[in-house]
Amino acid sequence: MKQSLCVIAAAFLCAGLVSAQDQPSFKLTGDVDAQAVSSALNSSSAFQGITPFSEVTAAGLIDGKLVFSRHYTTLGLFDFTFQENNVLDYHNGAKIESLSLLVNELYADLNYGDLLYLRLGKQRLKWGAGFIYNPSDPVNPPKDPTSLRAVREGVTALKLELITKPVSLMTFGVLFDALGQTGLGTRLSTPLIPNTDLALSAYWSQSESWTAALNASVAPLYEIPGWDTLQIWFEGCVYDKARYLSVTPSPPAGPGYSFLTGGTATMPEIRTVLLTEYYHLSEGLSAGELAGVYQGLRAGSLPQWYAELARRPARQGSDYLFVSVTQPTLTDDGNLVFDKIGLLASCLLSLTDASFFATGGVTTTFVKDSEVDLTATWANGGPDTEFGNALSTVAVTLDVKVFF
Amino acid sequence: MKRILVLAIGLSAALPLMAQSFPEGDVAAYIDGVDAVVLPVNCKARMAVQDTFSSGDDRASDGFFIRKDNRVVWVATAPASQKNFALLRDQDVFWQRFAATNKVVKTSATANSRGGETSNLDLTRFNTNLDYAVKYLGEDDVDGKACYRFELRAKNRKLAYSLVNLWVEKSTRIPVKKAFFAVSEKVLKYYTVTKAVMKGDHVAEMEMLYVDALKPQDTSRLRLFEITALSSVPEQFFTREYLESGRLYPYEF
Repeated sequence: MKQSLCVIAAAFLCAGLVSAQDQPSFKLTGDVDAQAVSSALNSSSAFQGITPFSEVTAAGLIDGKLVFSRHYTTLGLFDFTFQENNVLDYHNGAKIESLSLLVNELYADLNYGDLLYLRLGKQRLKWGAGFIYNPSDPVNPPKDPTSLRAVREGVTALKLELITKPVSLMTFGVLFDALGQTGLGTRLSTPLIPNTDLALSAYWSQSESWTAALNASVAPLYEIPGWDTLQIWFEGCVYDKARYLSVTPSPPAGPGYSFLTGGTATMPEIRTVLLTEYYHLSEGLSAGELAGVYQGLRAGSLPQWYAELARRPARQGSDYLFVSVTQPTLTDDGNLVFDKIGLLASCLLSLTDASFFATGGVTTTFVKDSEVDLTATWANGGPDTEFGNALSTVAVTLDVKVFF
Repeated sequence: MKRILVLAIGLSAALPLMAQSFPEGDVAAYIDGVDAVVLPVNCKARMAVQDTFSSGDDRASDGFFIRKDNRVVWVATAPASQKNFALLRDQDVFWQRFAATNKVVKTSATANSRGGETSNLDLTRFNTNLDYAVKYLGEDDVDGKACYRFELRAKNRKLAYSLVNLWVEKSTRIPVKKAFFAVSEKVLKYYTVTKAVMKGDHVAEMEMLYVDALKPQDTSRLRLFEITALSSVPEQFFTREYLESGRLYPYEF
């Protein structure tokens, strides 16, 4: 991976030198984020003692994008997250400090005329229509539906795009650490059907075999004033080999499938945004299977690598429903206080075992180019359910962001 | 006598109609010319908007846009939290790109994605004849400037204000005032041009003050500057795929 990153960095700089005569420039944007998290340990969690838990964490993050561009066209991008993490041990007050630099994306762009576009490097490949999760995506690192911080990390790939008005074609090759995981994919998208965006995708790799996916988003009432923000979408795929680490006695044989359907609408005048999504994973465990795993973990009769389940949030069961309500600001008429306060509430419900993960938050923007967020999450359910076994039942996060 | 009376009545009835005939010929062609004075069909320009509210609160945002006839892509450059936010109009379809994620979704024409008094339409509609049926109303005076006055009726209410009154300065062809009406024909807002710098026959810089007719203390000052004609603009700029690819960044203009 290090080698491939070096190659990309070299390509990035070469693109800069080649274009140096035409007044290109580097610009850095992003935000500095001071974050404090306080969590309450779920003492009945099957993962207690198996996976790490910290009651209090303080972190300093810099999320940055270094863009190399000429005129208004990007020639390369370096998207990174630098993080200093401090974990406070509440037993003895010890502080564990760690530094990390995560390269989310690092790529160089080459354009051939106005039709053909080449991108080389670590990049997030466009795939699914889903908002919180893309169950049909076999390539990018999966999103975590329980984390508000969006995953931006990509994969090392060479991508060729042909963009025309009626149809766009994307073809890519993906390079992973192991040669057997190297994959090839293609995506054909078109807006030709009125008020509809349609994409057909296919991906193949030796380790994952083949995946075929359909993505569609429709604005059915776009012609009607007031109803034009209503949008619905669908993404679904069929694939050959089981993707996830199987914890069932008899892993599923034959092709698997997964799909997601969702919709959003913005209320006129008050600007409240409603969003809902439902997804189904054919590989997800049933309520009985999940209960068996949790009981086994608690009894110590299952190997500890089953704790891998804890790192697969909202992908353990088979059916999930997500609902969110967002109010960007309470008012939008110049009010000195309410114009600067926004609200968010969401709930991710596992329909498999009726456990849930709820989030509520307040966002304030009183100081120019900054934001202060206070977010609380609550996971709950029965003793043998997915969110009932979340390591922290309640967590409160305070974020102070300064944009630059 | 009867004939003379009929003729006199007929002539007096026709007088207002004759007064309404447009002295510069075809109204639609004239309006196209007015649009071209402000913005060339293919162009790029910077835009700065300052919203002022009666509460004393101020908001500022900057951006640039690229126009190709009836397609416009508008990209925010300030405030810092909104850098990379983009609004795309491809004919009658509107899209917006979120600043943080590059995700592109359809949006409403009449929403004001950037806030303030300027709607998505105000930021991206520059072809008057496409959206409105134009009727000449006569001559008028705005702040001492001799103007032609027009009435604009929306062809499609989803994509335009129901009724607009437009005043065009005779000498420069600059649209110096516009009043926007609701369906009930009540004035919603209006703008007046507070500054215009000409370069030849075209506007190089223009400043407009939008005023909320119901709350006149709520205003948006919109400044168009560095208006530059482009010989060609790639079609790809106005596709969802290109916008989502993140290639159109606001850093160098």
